[in-house]
Amino acid sequence: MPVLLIESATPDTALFLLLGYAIIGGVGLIYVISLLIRQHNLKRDLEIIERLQDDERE
Amino acid sequence: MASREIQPAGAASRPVGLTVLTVFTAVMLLAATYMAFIYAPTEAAMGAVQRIFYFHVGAAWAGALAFLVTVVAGIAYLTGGGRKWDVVGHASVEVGLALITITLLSGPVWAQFAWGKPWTWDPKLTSSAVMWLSYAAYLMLRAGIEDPARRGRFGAVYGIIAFASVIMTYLGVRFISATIHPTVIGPSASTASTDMGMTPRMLHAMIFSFVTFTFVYATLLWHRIRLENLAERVNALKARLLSGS
Repeated sequence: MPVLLIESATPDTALFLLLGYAIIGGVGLIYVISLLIRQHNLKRDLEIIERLQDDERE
Repeated sequence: MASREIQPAGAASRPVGLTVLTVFTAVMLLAATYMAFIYAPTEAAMGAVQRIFYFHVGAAWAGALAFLVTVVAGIAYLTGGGRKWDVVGHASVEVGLALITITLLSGPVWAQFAWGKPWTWDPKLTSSAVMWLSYAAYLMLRAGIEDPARRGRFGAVYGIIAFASVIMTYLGVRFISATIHPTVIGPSASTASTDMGMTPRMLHAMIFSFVTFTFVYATLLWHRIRLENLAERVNALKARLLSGS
């Protein structure tokens, strides 16, 4: 019986938990995606510059 | 600044060490999620929402570590360590800011349940917000300075001074003011809304989260440093192309 009382006193906060971890995962994902986008853009710039340099040499 | 040998694009392949570290960190994150959701027991008074603390606190720890690294990098740069320390300091602030953003946004979810509102102007929360703003200002300051040497000097000095906000958030508030925010390491203040007394399994999950977020920080820092070096190379090539040399 005391065990039942403790269990019923514990609130159901699973939705808060899911929201919290969705935010944690979301912020982490946004940052990683921002790193990937910046890297992709820089590599593209590098390729363009190298192509321009090759054209100049020719 | 001394001229640097400009390498072709293909020379910047990812080091094996970074790939191993990235995979290892991903596995650690999965394990930390298991520890937080399944291994650690449900806290009786708060229920499942207490599990937010494992990642909330882990991210806070790694964020503080990132800002400490910026102090070390700033001192190294100012004492003649070279441009690489400026890159480390800058990268560390950006990663630290992302980690502290996780802390600042996940805390209010727990607070909404525990305090009935997501935010209060409690000293601990206020100093955390000031810390976040201080480091956001660091990035804005750097973005506004063209000359690399001047940007490096300003960034190093600012990074050292801004660490005062970290000391205030993590240590100062404990000793000088009453706070309703619970303390994870050491006893909570008598004014805290709840005590973080943890069972051994909760403690294991918390320590594992600290270790995991340390790896998350190290991995992101390495990737961010490589990105900064790539940006420098692209800028150097652009400058060379424009000057026609």
